Amino acid sequence: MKKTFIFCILLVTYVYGALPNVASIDVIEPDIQGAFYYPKFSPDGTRLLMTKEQFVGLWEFDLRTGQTLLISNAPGAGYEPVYSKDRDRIYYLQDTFEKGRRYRSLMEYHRNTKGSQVLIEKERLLTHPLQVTDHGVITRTQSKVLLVGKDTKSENPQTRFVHTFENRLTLYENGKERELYPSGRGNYVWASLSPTGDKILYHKAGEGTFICDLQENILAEFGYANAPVWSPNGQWIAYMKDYDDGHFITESEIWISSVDGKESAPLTNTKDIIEMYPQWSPDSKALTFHDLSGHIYIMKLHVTE
Amino acid sequence: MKKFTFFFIIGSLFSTSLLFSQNLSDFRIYINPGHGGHDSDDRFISATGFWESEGNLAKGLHLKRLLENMGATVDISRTTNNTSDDLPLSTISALANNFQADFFESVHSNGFDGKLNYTLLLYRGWDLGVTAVNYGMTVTGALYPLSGEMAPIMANEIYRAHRTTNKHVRGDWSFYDWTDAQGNKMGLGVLRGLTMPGNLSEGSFHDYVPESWRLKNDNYCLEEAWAIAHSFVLLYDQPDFPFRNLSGIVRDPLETVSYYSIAGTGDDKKPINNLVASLYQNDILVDVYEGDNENNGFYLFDSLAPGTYTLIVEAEHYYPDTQDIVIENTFFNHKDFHLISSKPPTVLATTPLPLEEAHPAWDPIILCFSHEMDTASVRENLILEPEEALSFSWDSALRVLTLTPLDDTLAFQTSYTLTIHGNALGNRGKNLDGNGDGIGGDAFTFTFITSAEDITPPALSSEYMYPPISSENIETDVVINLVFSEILADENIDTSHFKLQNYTEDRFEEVDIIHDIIKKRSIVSIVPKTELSPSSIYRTTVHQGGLSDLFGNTMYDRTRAYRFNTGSGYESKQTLDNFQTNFSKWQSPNYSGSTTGIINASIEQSTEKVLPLFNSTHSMKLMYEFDVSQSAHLIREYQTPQAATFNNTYILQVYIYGEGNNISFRFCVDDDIYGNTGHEVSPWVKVDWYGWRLVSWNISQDGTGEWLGDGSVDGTLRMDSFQFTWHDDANPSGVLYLDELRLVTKCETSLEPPLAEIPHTLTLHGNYPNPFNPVTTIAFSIPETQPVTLSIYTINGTLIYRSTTGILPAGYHELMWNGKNQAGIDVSSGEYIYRIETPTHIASGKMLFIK
Repeated sequence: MKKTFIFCILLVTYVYGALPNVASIDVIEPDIQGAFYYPKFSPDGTRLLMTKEQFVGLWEFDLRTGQTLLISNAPGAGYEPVYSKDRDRIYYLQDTFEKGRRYRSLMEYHRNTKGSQVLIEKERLLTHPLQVTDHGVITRTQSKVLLVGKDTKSENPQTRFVHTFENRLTLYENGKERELYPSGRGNYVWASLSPTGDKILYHKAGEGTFICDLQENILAEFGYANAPVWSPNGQWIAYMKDYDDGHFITESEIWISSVDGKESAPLTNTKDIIEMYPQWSPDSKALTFHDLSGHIYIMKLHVTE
Repeated sequence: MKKFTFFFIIGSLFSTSLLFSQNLSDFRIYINPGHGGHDSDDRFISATGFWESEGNLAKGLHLKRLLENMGATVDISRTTNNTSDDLPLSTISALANNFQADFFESVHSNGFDGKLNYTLLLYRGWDLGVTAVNYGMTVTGALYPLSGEMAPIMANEIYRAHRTTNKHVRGDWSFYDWTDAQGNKMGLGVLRGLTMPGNLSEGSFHDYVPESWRLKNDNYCLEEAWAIAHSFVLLYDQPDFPFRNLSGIVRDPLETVSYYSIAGTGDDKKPINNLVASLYQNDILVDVYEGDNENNGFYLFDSLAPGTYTLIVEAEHYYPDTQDIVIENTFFNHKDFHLISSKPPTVLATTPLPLEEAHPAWDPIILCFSHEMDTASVRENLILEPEEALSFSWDSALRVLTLTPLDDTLAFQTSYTLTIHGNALGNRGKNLDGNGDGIGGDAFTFTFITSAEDITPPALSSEYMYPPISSENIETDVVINLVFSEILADENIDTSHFKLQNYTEDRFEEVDIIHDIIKKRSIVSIVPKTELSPSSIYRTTVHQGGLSDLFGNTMYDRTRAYRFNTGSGYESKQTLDNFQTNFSKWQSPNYSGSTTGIINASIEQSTEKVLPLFNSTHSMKLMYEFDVSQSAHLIREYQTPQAATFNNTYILQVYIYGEGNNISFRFCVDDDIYGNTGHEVSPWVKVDWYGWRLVSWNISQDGTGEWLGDGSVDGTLRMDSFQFTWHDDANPSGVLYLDELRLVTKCETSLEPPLAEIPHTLTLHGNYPNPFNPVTTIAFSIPETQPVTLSIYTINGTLIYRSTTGILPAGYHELMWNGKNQAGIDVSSGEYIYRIETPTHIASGKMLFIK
């Protein structure tokens, strides 16, 4: 179930060229207790994946019925899970710790069987699912890029994506990896390919968020913009402006920018709520995000067609 | 000094890169040197010039090297210390997650009130063994169990390495009070976004000044890195290091530091700079450590083979010291040294100061020596001219000599010369170095003049009186302070001598009388037991008869009265902080990067001086010492987490207990706290008073000072800090107290001045003070709106002064006369007659002018 949440969040209205306006903000009310974080829409926009403190466990919330489904209780399960394209399967990580070492497995949950199976077992280094294809998901171990699914496991898939394995910005293209340095040497995080596949959104630690082309030419700058994500229609990016005092996160708001970086505006402007980690709905007409207290929000946008 | 053959040997000093037997090659560790960039969320200790970001980075880089030498794969969130290195906590978490670390270690140092120095290890979750719910999850101890395993290991290792006073292991949910609106414990931001176990280590306290100096030593940071690296060896059950560390602190036992030190730590003695520590084994030189000049006296030899060593420590102007050291099984070994200065003894300070011209003849003479003295030889060689019988008294260290006149006082208004000849001995038989040139055998001599006999009665200092004479709009929650020129005898300081009259209602208020002594002055406070009436006339009355100084000089027996008017009353009062609970939210001034130009500043919760209103039991005590050689001075005393929010319709108030030191004070608020637009400050107020006084900032009416904000206070506000600065006319060091920080609103202010009842006829209320010199105020009430003429006559009836006012409204009024005649010439002492004349009435009275 969801409840219109009108008393705390200030709806931000503004007049910026092509940027969407906020139409409404709702907070969801899962039917199980607890705080949830890092929500992510399903491909049809009817469900959310979400996790708990420090990515422990994975749950699916049905926006239509208000019911919550436990997918996994495992540590790490909530770290960057993805749906299959047909949304019947959910790919997620499962961490185990043995003698101080972390081992990661890639799991596949199937809606029909209501159970999970291991796709890759106990790798010392294994990225979260980096891309979803028709046949499964792509992940990377220490030395290999793999396409894995229920009936599939192959190396060097023919596709294109970017990742930041070990904080290096890397373009994978048809079996080959190429490190990119559009902002010079340093640590890169939060990188993703544009929906059109020809641009890269990335964040360089200490320098900010940028968009570059595949030849490393910087096309747009966004300044202080953390955890940026493309809108599926490719027109905007959403991100958070979070602040801290070195120990505690003290404030954060959700922002939106046009992809050329020329227009930007806050989508939240709240006095007591620390909103973080926005994710787009598949139709680019809504965002979901969490606050530091573990509430999950759905923000609907007025989009000028 | 022993002679040694200076050959280095390799066997006793391991090459750390070659001889690590630990194998961490399958482990991935992410290091986060906390803070960064010398900016607002960094921690700066102005007393030492220490930045936490620098200490954390030094530890982090050393730790990275040590762990990599053991084979671990290590990444670090920063390797430099620029503004761009101050990464958001969300970015740090993302980098550690991308790196796929097995463990995350955030390296910090701690700060509180400058008086603590323990080791603290934090992890995400509850204290070990505690089961409770947070964010809807039932958790026992650490959220990641490995964090809970590591924390006590690392706490113990750092505690042993740095010899801090204690060690604590806490879950961040248990340790921090900060909760969200649902009551969830927020905990450390850097740990909550991780996909792996992690700790945050607060190795020691950087605002404890001795530790702050040590943290400026790169090898001291290396030792902490060794402690953390050793923790991973123990956690991952690896073979222990085959080598050992040896460290220590070298101090001068005869010189005491000026800053705070924890008892029993040895930190009260001055560390020695630029030391040279030479380590020998079997008379062969193994290694040499050269100390820095950062006032820590620290040395470190790491990677030593177990065995017996000889360590010689030397420094310029000190006798060298040699100690044998056996290094066995423990990894951290310590040996501290005390080096004795080889300089001849000198006289460091005297009371009175040389050439002082009014040393109270009844006060003792005090001499402070640089070294322990031979008391007999000092006595033999000390001469006071003219000769006086003196008693000699030494402190336990035999460095402070107190000479007390046996006849109660020295001669009054007499020039004395005190000489100690160079034959006086100290510091292992060295002759006194009287002129301080480094060569002993010369005399120390100084002269001073004693004061006149005190035959003057104490006087009331009208310049420090509060409320000031004839002042308007005084707060109704007021402490009345009367400041005297010297110390009063306690007798007769009571409610029969000090009164407060509500003149409007013609009654005396119930009051308490408090007698304080500040800087050899008496401050008598009249404290109303209830809030004063708004818009009323009050008179402070002092019956001087019976008031005397400590020498029996009695004040002239007369009664003096001083008027003030109260302003409007309070519509609301909201206490923000009375400093009785939760004091820990107030941070050490050194914690703020804005604090600058100080030698030292600290706060403590105090019961020494407490506001005598509102049943207060505690106050905040600020101790400060500004560095006058600096060009900018600011102490920012701030709180975190911050308090309630408000807006500019309020008046922000706090009571300040001043000691006449003239430093300036202002409030600072966060303006538009959610828009991140910055800080706004009130105008500076000079704390030039004695005793408690209420300081107010009517936010919408009083304007702002200049600091970080735009000068417009118009957003949602939150108390940020008290701020203080130094100017040329202020004492560079001192203390003050603050109490009852509050927000108030006032009732609508009456446009009319406070009125006594309108009389039916012209009424005189006398003049005050009386006797006077040279100004007196004549009070009267008139029955209707009309002009008034004041005339002054000699006692023989000669008119010497006349002045006519404009038209005055009916009611109470005052006119002042400055003791000058119509030509502006001072009149002579004597009795005078004043006459108040209106078109319908005349009244007159007598007054006495005493020069």
